[in-house]
Amino acid sequence: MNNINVGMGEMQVSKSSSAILIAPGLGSCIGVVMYDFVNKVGGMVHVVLPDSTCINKSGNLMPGKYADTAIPVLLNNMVKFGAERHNIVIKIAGGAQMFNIEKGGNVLNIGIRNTIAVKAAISKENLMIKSSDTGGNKGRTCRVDISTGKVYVRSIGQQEVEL
Amino acid sequence: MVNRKITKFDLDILGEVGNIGAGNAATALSQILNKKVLLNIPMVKLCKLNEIPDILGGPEELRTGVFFGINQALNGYILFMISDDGAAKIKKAVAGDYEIDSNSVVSEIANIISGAYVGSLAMMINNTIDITPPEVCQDMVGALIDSLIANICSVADKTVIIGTNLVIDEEEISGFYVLLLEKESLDSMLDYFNSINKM
Repeated sequence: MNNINVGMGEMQVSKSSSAILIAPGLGSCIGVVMYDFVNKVGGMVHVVLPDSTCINKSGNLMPGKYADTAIPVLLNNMVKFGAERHNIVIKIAGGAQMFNIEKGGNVLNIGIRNTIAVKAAISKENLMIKSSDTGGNKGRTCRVDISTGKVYVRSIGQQEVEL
Repeated sequence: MVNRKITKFDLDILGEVGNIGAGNAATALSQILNKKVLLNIPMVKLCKLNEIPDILGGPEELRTGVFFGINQALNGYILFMISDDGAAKIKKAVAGDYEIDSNSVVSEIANIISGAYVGSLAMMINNTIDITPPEVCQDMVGALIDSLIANICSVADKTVIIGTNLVIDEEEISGFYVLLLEKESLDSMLDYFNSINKM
């Protein structure tokens, strides 16, 4: 098996049957998994922030970092790898709130803002989320097996569950 | 605002800032514990956000994290992350064989270190820095730090990590003590030190 780490702001698409894509240690970040069960193409993005509109886009933008750019770019990459939009199933995990540091109002409820932004970006593409595990105050590791399309989520001190 | 590039000289300055802060913090802790305390040579690194969890021990490693927000003259976070093993060593150094909650010991030690560290930082930049009460949480490294990194790196994809290791009575506590500053704070602090250097 070939484990591929998808770090903060990174994006991976694969159709290799031996690949497993992993987003390790998701807190407020969100791991978005897309999978085409017919063409066996899978992709994952590790979203860090809700919104790229406040950023000066002339620079070297990491599309996977922001929810509003991550979803369309990941979809595009999926299609480039041979996936078809109507076959794509989406699952998401993450978006926790780990701390309550009283600082500048809602700065640290970023997990909730990420969740809302990811959901909005997905419905903007006229797609649906099949299942999700978001919120709470625990970290998660999310992985997808490209050969089967099964998505698993694990937290500290808990059994890994299929999403 | 102009995007300031971090130079080698800037990293040297930050290393020295870290050194002085760590020195003060070690003295404070040493006086309270009545033990020899070292906060050894700081790590100063400019890193991309996707590298940070690996640099701080690995995204899936279990750690106890203590966090402080800092604001006023500088905005950012201080974080203190140690393994279970390190927490046990701190507890032993502080309380001997007494049964006390290890989270509160770790959080108090982090509090003492941060107070002294931030105090010396404030003195160096000749300004006021406020620090929030500690927040403690146990989870994976990635999960502990990603919301802080999201705030620090909301615009830039890189940030400077100023890290320190803690040694109590020659026993190294595996963990990290890290200062993360928002881009504007980092820039203004570096400009301040650069201007002093030119005088």
